[in-house]
Amino acid sequence: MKGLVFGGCSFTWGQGLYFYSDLPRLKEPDQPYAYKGELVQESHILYKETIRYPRLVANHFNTFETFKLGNGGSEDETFEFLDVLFHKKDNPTYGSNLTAERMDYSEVEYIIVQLSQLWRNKYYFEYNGYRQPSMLWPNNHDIGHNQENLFNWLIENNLTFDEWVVLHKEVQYLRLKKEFEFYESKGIKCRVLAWEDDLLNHIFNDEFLKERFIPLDYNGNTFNTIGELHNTHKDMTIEGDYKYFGKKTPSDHHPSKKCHELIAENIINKINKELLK
Amino acid sequence: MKGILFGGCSFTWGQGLYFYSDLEKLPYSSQNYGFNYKDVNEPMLRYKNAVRYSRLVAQSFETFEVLRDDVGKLYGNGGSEDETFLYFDYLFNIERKFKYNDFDYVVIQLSNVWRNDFIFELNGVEYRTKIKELYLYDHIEKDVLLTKELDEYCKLHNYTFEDIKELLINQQFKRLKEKVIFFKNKNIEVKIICWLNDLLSLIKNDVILNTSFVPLFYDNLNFNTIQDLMDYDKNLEIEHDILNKKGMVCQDKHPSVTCHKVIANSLINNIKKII
Repeated sequence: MKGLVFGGCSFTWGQGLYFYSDLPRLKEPDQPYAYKGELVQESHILYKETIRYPRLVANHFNTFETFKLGNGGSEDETFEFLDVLFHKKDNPTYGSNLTAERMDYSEVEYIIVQLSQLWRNKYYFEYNGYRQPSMLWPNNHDIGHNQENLFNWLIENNLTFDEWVVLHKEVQYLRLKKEFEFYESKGIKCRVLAWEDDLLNHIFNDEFLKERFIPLDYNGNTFNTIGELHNTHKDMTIEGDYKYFGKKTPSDHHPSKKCHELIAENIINKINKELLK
Repeated sequence: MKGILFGGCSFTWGQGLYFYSDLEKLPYSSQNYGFNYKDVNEPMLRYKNAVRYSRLVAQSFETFEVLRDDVGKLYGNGGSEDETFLYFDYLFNIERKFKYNDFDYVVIQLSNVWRNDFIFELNGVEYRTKIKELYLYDHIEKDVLLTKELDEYCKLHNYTFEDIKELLINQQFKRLKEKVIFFKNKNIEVKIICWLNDLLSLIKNDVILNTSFVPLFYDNLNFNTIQDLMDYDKNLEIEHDILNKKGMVCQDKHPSVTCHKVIANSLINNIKKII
């Protein structure tokens, strides 16, 4: 098998997995979702790369994996990372915050995208004569990047906030599909899994995306999102992994080692089924 | 387990392992010792990193490996013990990305002893010179430095080439032992594997180094060196193995993917015994 390229946020990066190591200098962040790069040493980073799900999948297929350099992210960043990886050969320093690597389509077998929180992606609209981005969260809709202009634009266009939410999801769904169709046309198989459920309806109503979606099977139940799995099985988060850490678990809401193993297992099973066809 | 630090030459770097990948543009026409980075792209580097013995060992203990290379920087292939120990020094004392307590094990793969500098003193001045090329590949003198001083040194002490060889081997042995003791004092276990047998008898006759030495187990036999292993089964060498498996000709005499597995399993079993 050729290489595997992964896209995603801190869930794929493997935030917090270093707490499973025997390494010195491990320090918990102030907040369970927070990340402070200065608290994380090089050895911690290399350790978490060893046990995160992209490496487990690559190990299984005796091949290599690639993921963007930095922690966190959104689909905006995921698709920018893919763009840098595949399309910026002539500009080796471009996108160096995302990756220093460059690849040909022919060197990659699969792109596997883990959807993050949809609202981390920018929404672009045209207002006052220029196209501008905004970033707002529906449960916190009066605070966000460029909210004033966005709200003015909504009024101008007779749109409610709820209608904008629908629009934003539609844009994200169409982008996901367009990107997947593009890379599939280049011979790379694309697969998707989700942390949250914002795009699930769109995915399930679209045959192309539906057959590329990876649900998570665990103990005879199917979970469509990592979030759903976390809500049902607390040990799938680092903070809830009492079995491994005992009574005092690290304050970190990210997927546990077991969760990474489960995600890897489901990706491997999906690929194996396809290889058998 | 904490991390595992590896030092070695192209055998540890994983030269040629990319021939086992499904990638395109594989450099079949490259010569064994004429490695050209331009022929090897980043997916190939990543692939060989994924299947080389250092990854297999680290993987089996669910930890990470550190070696003298980085995807994206395109360096790290080849080397000698001179380079291995320079790299360790760079890692801990110059770059300082890691501390000694980030590691539980150091694995040193000894390369060709002639790649290391021979150190001698003449008229109060310390000289370092490579004598490998003169010895191994007759009439190729491009790497032979300070020939005049070395000749003078030999004449002064009435040394033959065999004497110099013995001196070089003893220098290397002494340094290796010092390094092993140094790491042990830092609570890091050292494992030694050999490509060739130059230092073997000294290692085996030394109480400290003998416990660090790892023989390679294959086909119900123990082998002292990687070279012995590859001589025993030609398919443990890339050139033969790739011809058999892919029908492709490549002039690459480095350890095959199976050979890397043999090395990895030998190290894993040796470490497990300690655990």
